[in-house]
Amino acid sequence: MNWRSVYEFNNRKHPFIPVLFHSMACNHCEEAPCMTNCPSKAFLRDEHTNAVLVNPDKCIGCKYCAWACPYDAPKYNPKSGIIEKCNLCIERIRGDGIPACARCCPTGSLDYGLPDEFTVRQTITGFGDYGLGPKVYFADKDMDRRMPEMVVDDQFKYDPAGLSDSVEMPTSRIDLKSEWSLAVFTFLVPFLTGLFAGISLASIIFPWELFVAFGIMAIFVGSLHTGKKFRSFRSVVNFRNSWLSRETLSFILFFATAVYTLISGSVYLWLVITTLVFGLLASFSIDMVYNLKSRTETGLFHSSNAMLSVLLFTGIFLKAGYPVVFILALKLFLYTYRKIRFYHEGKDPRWLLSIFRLVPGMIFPALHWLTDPSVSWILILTSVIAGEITDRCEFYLELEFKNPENELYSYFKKIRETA
Amino acid sequence: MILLVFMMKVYSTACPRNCYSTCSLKVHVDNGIITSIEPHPHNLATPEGPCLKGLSYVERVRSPDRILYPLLRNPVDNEFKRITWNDTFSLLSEKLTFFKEEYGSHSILFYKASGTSGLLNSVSLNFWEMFGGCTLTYGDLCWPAGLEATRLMLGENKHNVPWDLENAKLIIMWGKNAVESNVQEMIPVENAIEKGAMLIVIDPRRTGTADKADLLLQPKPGTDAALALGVARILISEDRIDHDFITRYVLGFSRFRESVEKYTPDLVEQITGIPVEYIHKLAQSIGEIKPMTIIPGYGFQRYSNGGQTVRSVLSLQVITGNIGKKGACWHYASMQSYIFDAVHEPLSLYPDKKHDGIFRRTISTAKLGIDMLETGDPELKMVWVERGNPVTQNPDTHNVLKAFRKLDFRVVIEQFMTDTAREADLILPAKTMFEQSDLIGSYWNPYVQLKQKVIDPPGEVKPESEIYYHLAKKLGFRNEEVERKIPAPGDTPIENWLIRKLEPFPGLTLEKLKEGPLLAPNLEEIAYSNLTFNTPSGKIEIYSEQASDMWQVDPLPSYNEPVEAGSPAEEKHDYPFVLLTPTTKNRIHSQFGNLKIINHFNSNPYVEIAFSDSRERKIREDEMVRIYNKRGEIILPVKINHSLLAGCLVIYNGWWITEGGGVNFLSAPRETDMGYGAAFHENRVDIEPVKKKKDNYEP
Repeated sequence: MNWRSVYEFNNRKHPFIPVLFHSMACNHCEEAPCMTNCPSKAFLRDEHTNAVLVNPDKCIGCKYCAWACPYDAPKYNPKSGIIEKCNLCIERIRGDGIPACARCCPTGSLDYGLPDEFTVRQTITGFGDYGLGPKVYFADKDMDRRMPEMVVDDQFKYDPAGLSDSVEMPTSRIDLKSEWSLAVFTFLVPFLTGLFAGISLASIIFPWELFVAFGIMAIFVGSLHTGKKFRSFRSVVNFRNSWLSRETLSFILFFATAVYTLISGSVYLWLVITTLVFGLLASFSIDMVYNLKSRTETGLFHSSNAMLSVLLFTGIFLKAGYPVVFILALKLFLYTYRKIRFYHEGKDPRWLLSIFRLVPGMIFPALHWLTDPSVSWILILTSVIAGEITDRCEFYLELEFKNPENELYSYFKKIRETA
Repeated sequence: MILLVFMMKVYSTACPRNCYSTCSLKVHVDNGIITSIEPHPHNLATPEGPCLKGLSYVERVRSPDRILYPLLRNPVDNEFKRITWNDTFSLLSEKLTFFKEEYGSHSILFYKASGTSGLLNSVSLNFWEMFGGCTLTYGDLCWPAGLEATRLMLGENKHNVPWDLENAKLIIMWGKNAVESNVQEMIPVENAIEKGAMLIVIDPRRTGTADKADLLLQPKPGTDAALALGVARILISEDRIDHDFITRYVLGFSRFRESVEKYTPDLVEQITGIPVEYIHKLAQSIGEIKPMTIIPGYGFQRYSNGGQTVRSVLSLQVITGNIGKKGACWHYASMQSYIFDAVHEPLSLYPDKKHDGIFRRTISTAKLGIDMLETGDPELKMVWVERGNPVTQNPDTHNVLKAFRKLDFRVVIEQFMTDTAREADLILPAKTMFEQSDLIGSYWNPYVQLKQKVIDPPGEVKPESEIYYHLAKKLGFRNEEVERKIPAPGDTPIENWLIRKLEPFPGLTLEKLKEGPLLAPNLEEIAYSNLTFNTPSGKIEIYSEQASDMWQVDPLPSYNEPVEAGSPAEEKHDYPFVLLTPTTKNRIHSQFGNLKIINHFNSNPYVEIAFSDSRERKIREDEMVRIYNKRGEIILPVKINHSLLAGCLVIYNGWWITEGGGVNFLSAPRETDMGYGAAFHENRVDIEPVKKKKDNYEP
């Protein structure tokens, strides 16, 4: 594993734009988002150096820190199943040395010491200010200027397309193939909550064994995502800070109380409400888990928002027609708005998938509920489930977090707009 | 009783690769194992330490791929089998005696290259001399055209210390990509830029160095002389030259002035492809900004017109009076730290004048393959290769391979199973730099350094001096002569041998050198500051009769159209592209690329093509392409480069044939116009997408 990465920008060397390199490891931030968001409290701060360290015995390999860090410092090692990262070479520092990267840089471009030793600044092209207090400083040199005046090939003068060709859009590191388990889990949580509401309040007939099976499946599938599956119970320990811990904890509480209620046939309303509150909390936590500062798409209001989904499923199971139509309309609006925005931003809106999501997933159930209540309820439920799963999958396809590559690419977009 | 010895020691040493930097290193050794390599701050030229290659020695020394025992090829299954040193010496003695008696000692070719430097390398020649001679090679793959060009004009090869670059106000990297080939040079260059200096890069590629520059000029490969002479014409006509300097120290200026008259900006634009406006821009910078240092690379002198090109560029340094001052320097190569050599390169590379000497030097390094094949009386029967990988690195691989395969017996001393080692009958394990002490100089930094022994050789590795010692005894050479000419095995004889070499230099002792690098005695920090020149006339010879006497070139710097490169003129050539084969940062030619740590950062072989050419040829990124000419072909994936000069293709040299590399299948066996260098950077090729294999099915 390389704890330090060198990001290259403009490696095809478009003549209008500079070639930039970013050598980056951990910046040992004051407000380290890896540490705050880690569900298993695997991060700690070295007392002597304030370095942010990861405890390999506590890490469960959920990669949440890697999402939260805009500098791409936590690196997931698929061999060991846990996160590794730059540890500032604390053992060298304790031994009166300096970190190996600074020691060995052949041009002295990396240095270690107190920032007031030289004129510094905190941001440069491609290194954004995220308000995390990174402990890295840049020598105040005229770096951005550095690109040579040169005779430009005629091809580029008359061919603006060449500019787009030359800088590849960074590919997302999160894709559905590797994160399908999360899509399944985050679909099941609102679904099960709605289902529970239906069983206990609207006397839907549903075998409790199947409910238990669904719940166990959610827990099992959710833990598939972690590198250390037998250690994934640790994911609840940081409920004070981490929404991921809260998500896991509230779902477990929901599931436990739901199963107790269903098996015991209890009719206490307070127990049902408590269960539903846990379920709502679990869905809310899901939304908050993805509401990281480092996410490129900001805002909670997404058409696959778990809170909306939990209300949708509750409505369907309680057969509350108008609220369901209202939520479907809201989702429809959010979905369409997003797709149109993608179209304008030059991203792929995936039109075919969109039609599938819209027509059977939203318009069909909404219209039928309004016009023809005789249509089978099961058909409506099935089409809503299909739509919801599609939306959740799209959510993971589109999910991306800020990282140095994105940051350099956004710099390029700025150049392109001004060109 | 078991005594546990747990020792952690730090040694000072230096990297002996054929590289500008020649970094000083601190080696941490724990219980006989090298644990880390760290910078050595005493070397002012490499204060921040070595590059990745230097750090990778930790792996290289203990690599599981290292050859640790003598290996003999079994002719039946072609597999290498380990044999004992005893059997090795018996076999070698038997073969050497047989070839000498049957065909004469000149039927044996001793081929050495620049794989590792050190004074002990000379022991090999002592051995072959005692043996009764052998065939040797003359010339060199690296730098002789430029060395000879500089020697003809300035009298010798020396330059200011690297840290003087900080004083320059104009730095021109002419065909040098220091960011990759000499990364420590960028420290003073960046310091100079910070102090307001201008950096100009002249290179058909937009290199990493170019991205630090203010101006990048991309001449057609092989046309640099025309650019330089065109600039000289502008400087002279605009009177931006140093008259006083020229009158006192330069020979032949008026003839030079007349000869550059024909290089009008329009003609130069036509030859080089650089617009007139930019030729003026370059001239203006050179004329106005002082002091100026030109740092020429070694690539553009590996052309058929290389020597004359270097003389043309050097003339700009001379007519502007930028010699012998702080920040004003011709930064080609400095022999100031080669204090032990009686004769310096390039002269030491030239063939013996007397053909009846002990060694008969008839084989050209540049034309190794065809010369080996064509040499008769006696024909070559055996080769002994050390410190080199000629199958990968010499031009015209097909003929080199053919020549090797025609021989009866091939001995290769190697650390790894290189393309050349694969051709051997007998492989002898080679030491690394950490396994025998030696003294080294540098052609860039001004230090004399001790490359110190820090560990014992692993396995059954024997340093070459030991191999020669035992072999000499086995062959029954006169005992006292052997003892005099070859140091006996063991650390003390080696140290004593080095101490004898140091005797003429009272300031240099082995003890002091064990602590770190020492500046060469009589070092001129600013070269030529006394403004005396070791030429026949005692002046800077811009007009050199020696040049025309020795090399039959124009006594004045001139642009001679290169044989293959130059103007694209497709009607003239079957192959429209010029192939550039530069070096890259994580290898020294064919060394280091086999290490895991290097491969971690390096990509597989590829070819780069300019954007416009890729469109014209409908070649897509990552597509497999065939690059070919009449000498050979190579199939590689393609990468599109949007700043490469159109008409050029780039393949880094040094990738092994077994890795899919082998760029020299395409290169020409051709000597440079002077210095017996190899003009193998000058190759025309064509490129085409590899067609999918057609179905051979016939109904």
